[in-house]
Amino acid sequence: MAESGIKITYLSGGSDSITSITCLSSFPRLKGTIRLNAFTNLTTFDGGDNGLEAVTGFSQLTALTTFRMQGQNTVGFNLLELPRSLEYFDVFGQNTITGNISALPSTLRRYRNRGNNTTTGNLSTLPSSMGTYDNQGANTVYEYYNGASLGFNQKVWTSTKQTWNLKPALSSGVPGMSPYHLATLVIDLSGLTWNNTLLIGETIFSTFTAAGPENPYLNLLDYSYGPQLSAAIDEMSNNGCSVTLNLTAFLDPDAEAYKTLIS
Amino acid sequence: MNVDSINKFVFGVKGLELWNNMACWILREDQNKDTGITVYSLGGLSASNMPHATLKTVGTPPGLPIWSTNGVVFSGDSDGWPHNYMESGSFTFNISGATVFSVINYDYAGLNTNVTAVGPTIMGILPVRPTGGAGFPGDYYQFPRRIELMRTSPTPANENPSAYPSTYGIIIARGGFGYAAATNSGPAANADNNNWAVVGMSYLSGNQLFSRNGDNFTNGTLRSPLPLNDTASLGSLGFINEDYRLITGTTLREDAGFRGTSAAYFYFNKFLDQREHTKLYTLYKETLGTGLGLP
Repeated sequence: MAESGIKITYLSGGSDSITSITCLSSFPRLKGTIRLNAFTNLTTFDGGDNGLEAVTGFSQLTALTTFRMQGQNTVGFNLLELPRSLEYFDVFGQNTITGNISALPSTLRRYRNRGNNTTTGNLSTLPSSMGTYDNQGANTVYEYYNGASLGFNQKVWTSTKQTWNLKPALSSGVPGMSPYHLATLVIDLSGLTWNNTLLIGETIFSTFTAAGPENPYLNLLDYSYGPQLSAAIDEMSNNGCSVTLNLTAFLDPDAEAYKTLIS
Repeated sequence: MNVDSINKFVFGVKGLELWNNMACWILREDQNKDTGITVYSLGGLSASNMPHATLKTVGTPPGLPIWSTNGVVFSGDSDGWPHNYMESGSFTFNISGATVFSVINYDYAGLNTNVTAVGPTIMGILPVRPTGGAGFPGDYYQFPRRIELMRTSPTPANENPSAYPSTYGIIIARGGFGYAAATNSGPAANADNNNWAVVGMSYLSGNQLFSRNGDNFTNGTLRSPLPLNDTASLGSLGFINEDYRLITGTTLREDAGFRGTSAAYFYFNKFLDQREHTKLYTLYKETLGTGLGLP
């Protein structure tokens, strides 16, 4: 049976009268490539469990503020193509996001990408208005955050395969930390400012440094899996700010096996 | 059981990407079985070719090792052959390089005053070959030769621990390799028995690296009762296909058994550089070694 679909050939009032495209259902499905350049006044694109393969033509849009994709889309994006008006970019599923995060629109308030992506870039270039930078999932992001301050009330999510190379010149450690920590993932919180939230999941061996006087206002560090939190905890708590530290005990499988062996 | 410190140590070794190169035997009572003669091994090599170890005794009277908070206490006597030791099962020795560490506290105060030689603990990797003769360890080559790395200050005059207790004997053995380590204790009369040390040795094709408590131990004097060219024998081991075992906790000297406490022994099947020695020392000190008073 031939595959059904919807082809919009004429829109009363013209395509520039469309301000919102919403297709959250799995039927009818949007498939293939969708070209948005004709919708010059589009402010919201909200796609659900569709079969989109590509979205093009939105780099020229000047009114688009919300772009949301979820479900089983396999859309390829290049961050360079994001319209300069965009405020909310939420993409879930097995998408492929390429480009450099330094190209994120300065208007962006939330960037969420929980698919597979190959983006690179420097967190210090995140727009100052951005509240959430969420790169969870099976990402292979390689990011450099050079310690520059993130903006007000920002929330950063990251996960396993992302590399944060914050202060690669660190060689002698920081007070309370040991040199061996530096051999692995090092996340320097000194750049985070007031009311920031850093959420890190599934890291194997992470170290947080300089979360003390240099960063007196970090108020939520959600560290759900990694066991290596040391100096940062004390230093976070002595600055008169309210600190919430979410820790979930995690026993390495090999340690667990050894424990069983000697019990 | 100190699961937290074990967990952190495991994570740390994995973070250093050395897990699959390591087998270790940690001997503090809350880090191992703390009873009996079986010493369970930990590390990525454990399952494949670095099996558990056994605490054994020889001689009369047998000096049974005792589990304690800080490790296994070896009660080696001082009147002759050593009386207790730890022996691993067989494994394949990596000829391309190896590193061993021991964490010990030598009990100088326990030495017989008639003893003139330091009988240090050793960690030896030895081919299993019947010697056909009596003596310890019996089934292995003994350590017939050694090179000692001594502190330059105080200048050693002899091997009497009361005269110069800061001996770091590096054992270069025929048919195997290992090392001896004595902690930086004070003279016997003043020994406080609380001087722990982590002593490490790496070798690769004749290149050696010694460390004590994470620091490169180059400010000592290398001396040997043998020609120094025996050092080169490290790089010419030719027993790759033979059966090796690791023994430790005993002595190479016939006149002084090891008497002290061993908290851990580590084996890595590769050469570790100085930076790695330092990292491992720090990692051990902050995890499994907490409370020992390591510097």
